[in-house]
Amino acid sequence: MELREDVSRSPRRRVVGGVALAAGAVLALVATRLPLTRQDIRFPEGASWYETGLWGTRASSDIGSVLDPSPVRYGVPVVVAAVLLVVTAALVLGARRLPDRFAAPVNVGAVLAAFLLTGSGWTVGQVLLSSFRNEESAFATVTTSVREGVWVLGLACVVALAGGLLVQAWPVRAAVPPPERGVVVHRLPDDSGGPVIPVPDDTAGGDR
Amino acid sequence: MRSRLGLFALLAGAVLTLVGALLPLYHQAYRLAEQLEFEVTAWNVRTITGPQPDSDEFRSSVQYGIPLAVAAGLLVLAALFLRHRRFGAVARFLAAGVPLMLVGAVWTILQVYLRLAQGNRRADPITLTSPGLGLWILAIACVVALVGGVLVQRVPDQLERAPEPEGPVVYRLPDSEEHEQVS
Repeated sequence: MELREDVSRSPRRRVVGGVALAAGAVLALVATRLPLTRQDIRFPEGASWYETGLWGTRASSDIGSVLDPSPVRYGVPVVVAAVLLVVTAALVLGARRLPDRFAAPVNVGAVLAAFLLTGSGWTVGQVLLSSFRNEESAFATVTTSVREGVWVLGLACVVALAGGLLVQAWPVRAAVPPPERGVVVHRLPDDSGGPVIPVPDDTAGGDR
Repeated sequence: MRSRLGLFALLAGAVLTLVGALLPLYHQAYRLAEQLEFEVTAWNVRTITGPQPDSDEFRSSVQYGIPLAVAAGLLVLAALFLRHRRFGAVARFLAAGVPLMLVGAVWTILQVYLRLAQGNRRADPITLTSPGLGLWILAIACVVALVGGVLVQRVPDQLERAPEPEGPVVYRLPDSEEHEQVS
């Protein structure tokens, strides 16, 4: 059977992809409001805690005053990626109202937004790994734990990437439709004026 | 031609990323009683002046190099498989997305640098931070990879139109001798 390359544009798959892109954006925005890691510090005379998020840090009142007043704003690329995801999700879900020529740029935009989120999320993860330490000494015990922000951000990346994959028009191998039954007449190029030869269809069976 | 240029841009983006990760992202100079100056790459911290530790180059606590190296590897994979019959579409998907993954990683590093550089604006700064060559090269890598990613994408016309056959077209007409000619 002869095969030809075609592209699949399943409307239902595109809708699921668009919803996944939107869900990825919402999860990313939720992650910016949640703590990523928490450090509990126990002293002989008390305890303190310190949480790191995408917009800065939060701490118990006793160490709050000594915290850096202008922390690293890791949330900036995450929020930009979330906004791009929202825009591409809206374009994917409203694609029927858009001219066909916008389909390919929208598909590429979905991939760009999902990968931007993944790249920034992963690099923030590298920073968090460096702050992970558990220490025990006579002066203090430090325990670091992962908080819900990490899981929500990770899920946002996975969901957004899945959305980016689903909205693509992937090539599929489609079978060429079988030739029509009966006599097929081929018009030969550069043969004007000459005879046209009728050709029997082998698949017609029983006509001969 | 367009696709070949894109392929080279993807490979160049990968090489620039690997080179940028090895070069200093930023320099920091501490103005303490004793001068301390060091530079940070995506993998290591290198002491330039100051009390020498065991080695004057040691592993950085934040390994920015990992996502950068993975992005570079994926760019190379995308470039290699662009013309593959089976994986060409996956390669184009990666070629579109991985440059933005690179942008996300470099942008996060930039956020760290911007925070450190805020210290320069104090009236009597204790630390002075300046960008390194690595940060600039990573920025160029992002642009080059993005251009490559765009150039290798198929425009809608290429998707829809079957390739035109070259030369004369010959049709094999089975059993033509058994049939009468029709004028």
